Amino acid sequence: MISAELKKTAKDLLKDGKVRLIIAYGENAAGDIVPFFVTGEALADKMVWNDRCYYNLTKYLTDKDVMAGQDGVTGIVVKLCDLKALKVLISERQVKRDRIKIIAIVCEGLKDESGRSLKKCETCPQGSPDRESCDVIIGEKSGRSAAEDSYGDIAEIDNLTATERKVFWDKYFEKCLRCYACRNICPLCYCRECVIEQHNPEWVSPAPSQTANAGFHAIRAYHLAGRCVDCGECERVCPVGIPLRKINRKMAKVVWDNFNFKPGEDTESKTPIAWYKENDPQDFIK
Amino acid sequence: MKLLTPLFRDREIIGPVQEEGRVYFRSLESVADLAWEFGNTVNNIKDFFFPPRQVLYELTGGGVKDAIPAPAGRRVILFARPCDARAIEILDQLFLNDFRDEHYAAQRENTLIIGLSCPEPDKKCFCVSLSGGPFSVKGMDASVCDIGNDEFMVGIETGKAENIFTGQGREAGSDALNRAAEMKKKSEEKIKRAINIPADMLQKFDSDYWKAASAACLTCGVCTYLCPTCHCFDIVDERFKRVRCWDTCSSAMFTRLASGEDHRREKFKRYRQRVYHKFNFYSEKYHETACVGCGRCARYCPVKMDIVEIVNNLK
Amino acid sequence: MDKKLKIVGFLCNWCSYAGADLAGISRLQYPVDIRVIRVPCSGRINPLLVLKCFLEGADGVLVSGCHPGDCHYQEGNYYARRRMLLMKNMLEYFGIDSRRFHMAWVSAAEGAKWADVVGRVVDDVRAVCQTSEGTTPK
Repeated sequence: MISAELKKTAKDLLKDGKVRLIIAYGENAAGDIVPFFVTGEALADKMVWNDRCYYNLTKYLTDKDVMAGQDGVTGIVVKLCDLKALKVLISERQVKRDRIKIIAIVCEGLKDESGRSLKKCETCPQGSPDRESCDVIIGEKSGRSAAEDSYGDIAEIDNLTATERKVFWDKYFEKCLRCYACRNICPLCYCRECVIEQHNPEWVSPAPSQTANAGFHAIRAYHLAGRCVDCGECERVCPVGIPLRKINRKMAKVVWDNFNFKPGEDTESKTPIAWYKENDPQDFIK
Repeated sequence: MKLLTPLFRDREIIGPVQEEGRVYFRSLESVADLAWEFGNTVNNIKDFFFPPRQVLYELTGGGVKDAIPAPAGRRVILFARPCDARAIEILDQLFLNDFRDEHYAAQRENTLIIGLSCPEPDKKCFCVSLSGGPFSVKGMDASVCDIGNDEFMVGIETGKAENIFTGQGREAGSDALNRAAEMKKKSEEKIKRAINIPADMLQKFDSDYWKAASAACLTCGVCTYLCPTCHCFDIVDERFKRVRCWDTCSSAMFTRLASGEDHRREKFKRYRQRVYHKFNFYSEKYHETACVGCGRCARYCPVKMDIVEIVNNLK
Repeated sequence: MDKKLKIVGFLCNWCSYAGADLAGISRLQYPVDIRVIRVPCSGRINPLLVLKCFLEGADGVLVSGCHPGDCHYQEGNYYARRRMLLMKNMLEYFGIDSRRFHMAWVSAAEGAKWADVVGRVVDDVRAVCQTSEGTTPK
């Protein structure tokens, strides 16, 4: 039973005091799954695991308020998608591998509130992660052969004319409230001061408008290109339903097609914009 | 409904519409676009009095051009839920009293608010414990209640709505009144959630409780921007326009001063501030809570922070 | 007389700017619609600057640098090549016509190439402006 093993693992880690915090999933009084911060063995009994454990908890490893005073080792519960983000964080030196205990759970797919499988889970192989990249694996299982992401929806947008594409996106950028839920839940958006909020110089106005919002989403997508691992949380939390995965997956496809790179597979690779090959594609250059 | 179209022929119509599986308050092309079956909308009607973006004035070749709109035309907001309608009275305190905000006032004067009662509150609603209710008519110029059998009970609540329905329908008989009363009772009973604001809340301001309670918060703006009573704003310059836009006290930069000093640098201080503003500081001045129990913050929070649970458990 | 377009050119100092200067000295004719910004190297160009041009209402943008292998700073243009590829793909995805953003390698000796590149860029941008309701992407 995953829950029981999870609690036991947590208690073992907390016992000798080396690990003082485990970032895990819990449940609130209303029955929602929430991020849960286990700071002692007593709290470990309230850890949960089920198919509504959506959050990419690695976000909290760069939250300076959560991590304040944590100078020991921090435990973190991850699914396969979260683990990819964690590897990028380690490769970008935001998290030190020897300062965390990676508790990987073998997830069998997440479901939304009406019981439907999340879209991103359809292309996940599920199964156990590789042993070397975790400290504990709970729920051992071999992976299944899942369909590869066909990027069909991206191709549909690519096949529109420029004007049609603009109309498609402008409709969503008009709705955007600039709440920054997408940015703030993203583990890879960890800048202390986001370029969007920079005033000297100012790239986009803080006030929402179609143009400024388009600028925000373009800038964020650009900064995530080659780094986003498609955990899908941004799209899930957007209150106005902007199809953000269609933006980030497009950039992931461009990076893969042109630079043969996928983020989150190891903890050493550099982001593609940080290096180059002498024979990089240049068909677009006169 | 065909009944509604002629009534509002000379007004812009704002009401709930379906957009890709969610319901929003938008300006409508026609009454036919109205959504009739919905819990509550994502956004609320404050958007139409205190919009996310408002140009305050512009610099032109000839000097400063004030952007206070001449009331653009009359409007009607259809089917505001009781919680959202009540919230407008709270916003009136803030935008019309100590200082009269002309942008807000202009929109307020030329807008009719027609509310819709709530026979099916959802599990995040808690209006009853905040002196509201699913059949409350506070803040509405007229109220509509679907009492079944294709009949609607309409209440004229203020002078603004007096002549709108003249000649339509008939005086409610005791049967209709009883049905409405029955629905009201049933609906109120469905609301199980209740907030219990501790009497000694202010004394618990410095409690260690807040650090753990706020730990999961992402300091985004969803709760603030979807909240019917939240009203904080920033003023920014866009080239030659001075623009007022929504802002959230949750965000890291909100309290930062030009000197760089920030007395709410820690996340728990910002979270605590938002809770106290709503449930304590505001009521000290205005003798009511700046929360109408609509439940949107809990429904849409990316990490499901539950303000009811957090206030009720305060120690 | 066609309306004068607003095309922003980011030219690296050592190759492209010198090449454009050579075009001028050689009295080669090319369209006036381009406004040149001189940068030390194409690698200095923050790709967000390209986006910002379009947000501010530019009709088109041209980035020009040294040929691969000839960068004055050894490798700046290699970075620029990757960055601009990503930016170009992203802009197109959001609906900014692909004919609005161009990149070129123009060396200090290629005055004629510079004039030709600008001519082609202006033609492309004008074609877009005339077909898509004449409005710049906002």
